[in-house]
Amino acid sequence: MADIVLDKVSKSFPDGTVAVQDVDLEIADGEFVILVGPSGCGKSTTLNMIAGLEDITSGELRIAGQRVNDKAPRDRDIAMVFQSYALYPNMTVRENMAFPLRLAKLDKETINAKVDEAAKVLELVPLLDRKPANLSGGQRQRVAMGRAIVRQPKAFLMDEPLSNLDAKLRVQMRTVVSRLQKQLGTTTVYVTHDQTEAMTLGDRVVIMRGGAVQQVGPPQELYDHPRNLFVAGFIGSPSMNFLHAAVQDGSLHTALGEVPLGDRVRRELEAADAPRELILGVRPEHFEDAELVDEDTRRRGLEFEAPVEIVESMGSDKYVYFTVEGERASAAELEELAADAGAGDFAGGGGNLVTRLSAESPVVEGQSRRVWFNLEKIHLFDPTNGRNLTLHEGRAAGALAD
Amino acid sequence: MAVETTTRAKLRWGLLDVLVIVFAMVPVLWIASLSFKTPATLTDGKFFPREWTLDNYKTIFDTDQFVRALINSIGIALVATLVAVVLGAMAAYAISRLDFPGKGLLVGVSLLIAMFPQVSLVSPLFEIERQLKIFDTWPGLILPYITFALPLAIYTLSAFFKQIPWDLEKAAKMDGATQAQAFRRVIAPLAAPGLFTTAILVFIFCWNDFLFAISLTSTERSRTVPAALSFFTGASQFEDPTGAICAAAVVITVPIILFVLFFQRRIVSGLTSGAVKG
Amino acid sequence: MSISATPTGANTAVEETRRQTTVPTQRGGRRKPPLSENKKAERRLGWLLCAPAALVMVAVTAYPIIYSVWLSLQRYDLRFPDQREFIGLENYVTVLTNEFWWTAFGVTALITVVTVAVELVLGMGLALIMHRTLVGRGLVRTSALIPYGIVTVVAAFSWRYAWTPGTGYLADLFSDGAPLTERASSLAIIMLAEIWKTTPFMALLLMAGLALVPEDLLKAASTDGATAWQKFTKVMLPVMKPAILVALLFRTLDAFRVFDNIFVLTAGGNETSSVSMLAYNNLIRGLNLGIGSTMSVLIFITVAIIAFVFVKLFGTAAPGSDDGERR
Repeated sequence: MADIVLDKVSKSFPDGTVAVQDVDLEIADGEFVILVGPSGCGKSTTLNMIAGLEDITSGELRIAGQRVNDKAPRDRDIAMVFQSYALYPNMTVRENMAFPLRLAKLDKETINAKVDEAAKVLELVPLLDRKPANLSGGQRQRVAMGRAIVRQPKAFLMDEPLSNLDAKLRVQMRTVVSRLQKQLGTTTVYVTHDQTEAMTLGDRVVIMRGGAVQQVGPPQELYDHPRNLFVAGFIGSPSMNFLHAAVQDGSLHTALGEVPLGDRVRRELEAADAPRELILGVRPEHFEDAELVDEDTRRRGLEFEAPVEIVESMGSDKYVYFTVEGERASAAELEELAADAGAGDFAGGGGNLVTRLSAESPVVEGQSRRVWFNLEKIHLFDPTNGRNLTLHEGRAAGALAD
Repeated sequence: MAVETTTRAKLRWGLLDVLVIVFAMVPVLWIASLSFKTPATLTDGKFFPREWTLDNYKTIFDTDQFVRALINSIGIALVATLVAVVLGAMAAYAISRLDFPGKGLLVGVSLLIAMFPQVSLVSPLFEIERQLKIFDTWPGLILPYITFALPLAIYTLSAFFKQIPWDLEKAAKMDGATQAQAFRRVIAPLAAPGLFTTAILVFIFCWNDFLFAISLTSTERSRTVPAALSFFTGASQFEDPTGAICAAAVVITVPIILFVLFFQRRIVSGLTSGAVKG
Repeated sequence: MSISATPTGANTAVEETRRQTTVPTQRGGRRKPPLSENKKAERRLGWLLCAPAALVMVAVTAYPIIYSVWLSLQRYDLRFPDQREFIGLENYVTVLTNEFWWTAFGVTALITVVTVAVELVLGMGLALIMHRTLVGRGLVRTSALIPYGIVTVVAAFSWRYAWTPGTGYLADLFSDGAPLTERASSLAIIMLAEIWKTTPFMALLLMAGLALVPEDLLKAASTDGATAWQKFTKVMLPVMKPAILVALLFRTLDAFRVFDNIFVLTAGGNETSSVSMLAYNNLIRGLNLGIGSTMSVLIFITVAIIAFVFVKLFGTAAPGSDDGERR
């Protein structure tokens, strides 16, 4: 068990491309930290540098207070779970799990005892004599985990360990991983591109983009107080709605109507170099059917009317897609997020607005509906650099704050 | 209806299969048949022997000329195979796993050698080997065999090595293995089938050679069976050598048939993977 | 082959302290990262592992071919070693104005073109059978491998005795008896022997290409209304093109080297010598190293031209041409 510290860690390749840039990260002993971001953001490279499978170009990596930049993987005492599981096909499950212990030259009895214990934890006992080829995907995944936990390393590194499983099994294994980590209390660094995994698993989440850390914090904090447009768009499903907004006479012109501004935001916008065009961000759950909102709440928000395009009833609530007119919000971050979602060249209809309304709402497809949204929960972003303008001392305060 | 068409399709394929098998087997059966014929019936022109005899085999195993050639063939092919596979495996491992300048050059050179006209080497090697005093010796044949087997070995083995999942080596390192341990405990067991297949292909290549065998040898000291066969003709003036030649031919064909029978799948995969993925 | 890239055991500690002292100086140079220790070790290991194979291959081919060029510029007959002298290109003039050379060249070219063409067609058929047959796939593949594996000389003897009057089961096909004493029939038999021996190899290379044709693509073509022939020409052949070119290149160069079958079947009699046969006769039987080497060099140049034309025509389809980039 140990803490892991990345001190201005960078990775660049001989051809000059920079994969990871000045990553500063302190992972406490026993902490579960998730590295998340779109593909190519440098999260796997960062993990491989911690593992010792890739060189660190500059900066320092310390495990348990000791500089390990130049140590071979085997001298770092950390275990890794691979996306492909990387089980040795010529060995049985037992031999696979015993492999690291045999390399550590433990005696036979200890090895057997440890393997049996790990197998019990992961419910692998009946499979111990099988070869990996005769296992299902979920079983292989568990063997890979077993091989990691069996030697009680200082830390676990997991490289998208669940992404080869089907959706149902993935949810199941998520809880297994989570429980196991809590039980063992071993420092864990977990790489994923799936924001749901990031939200549900980690103590803290590190969002990366283009080799640089965007924001670090507990999942809920990232969700509620995104530092920039990228974080806001990456975290959350369905993702935040982004709309074009123009600043005029102390208020904002948007497709949802005139948004009044509080003193604090207005002061910020009065600065000489302040942008005249903004991006308005509203999460789907901050909308509500106007009929279902009481007077008190109504005052804290704004109402608008728009035609209903599609209604998806989830039982507990409804996802309602509205068509709103107006310019589309555009920024480099949004394009990147769309490309990562695989929708880069498929807009799927202009100004669609995703809302999550109460199940009681009697919305009907094709008709217009009055909708309310919470002004205290909206975010305003500067499209040129993605900065969240509603953020004050790390907390998002909405549009109305004084 | 469906059953009928599949039966007919099966019949049609079966017929084609038989055609292929006959096409492939007839020359082999013919020489085997000749080797079992008695001198009296040798020239009857019949495909199958009317009288069977093992005399031809007795004759060849009684002559030093053949036994010596057989030992040469086996020894030279084995040594050349061993060296070519070891050197080829080292190079193929580097080509498929490591990043270093000059890799493309090595691949290019071995491709060139695979296409090299061997006869162009006969005259200089003849002269060089005489000067080095290795003409008409085992090393004199082993050296060119290794050279021409290396491209085959490198191609086949790199194709095999590329199929080994790269993550396994990383996983072994994470599990505490040194580079050497990762190779010995994880990669080598996975590479063994590929090594074995390559060894068979290289052995067949060396076993098969004729041009070097008759050009770079002059006596029984290092003459291999294919070369010796062509000199049987004048071995005994009073006897027709046909039966003996056929018996010798059958003897050196047996190992090939056994390889093909037992390792058909491996040989096919070795030849095809090296060819396409190269 | 178990050479380790990283120093093991006791070395590591020493290495460690040495590296740590050098690190601060490296830190500033972020612009152009220096090759790390690991990268350098990887390079060294790569070279080390390739060196033996490369050395052997170059030593046994490059040096002799240069030596061969040198020999070809001399009058050098082992029967008259005293007359050895440098004569420039005179040997080339001798060979290139000699009708035997051009006859042999014509024979070789004829054998190459005919056998490769026939093998391509037969090989494609055999590949289809081996790939798609519903029954006895293993048996077919096994028997097809026999011609590939068998010693060429053995097969050549089998064909020779098959056509020998009195002995052979095929000799009676010709009314006048001895087909191996006539030029045309001899050449035909040589080609038959070549085709029998190497069609399976061609078929295996083509089968590797067939395996690359996705089953779904053929199904899609069927539902789009393609006939079997259209599926073959419009779907399979384009996908197989690289495999076909590789097979053609290898077989063409291989066929150009034809030697074993001719040696056993006719010994080059009745003007059936190939260039390899002619060079061998001058060298080993005639012991004329000068003329033999000249022929060797000419054959080498011819093969180089064929290979060059193939690679130029088909560029990237050549095997291994993209190998450098792949890991």
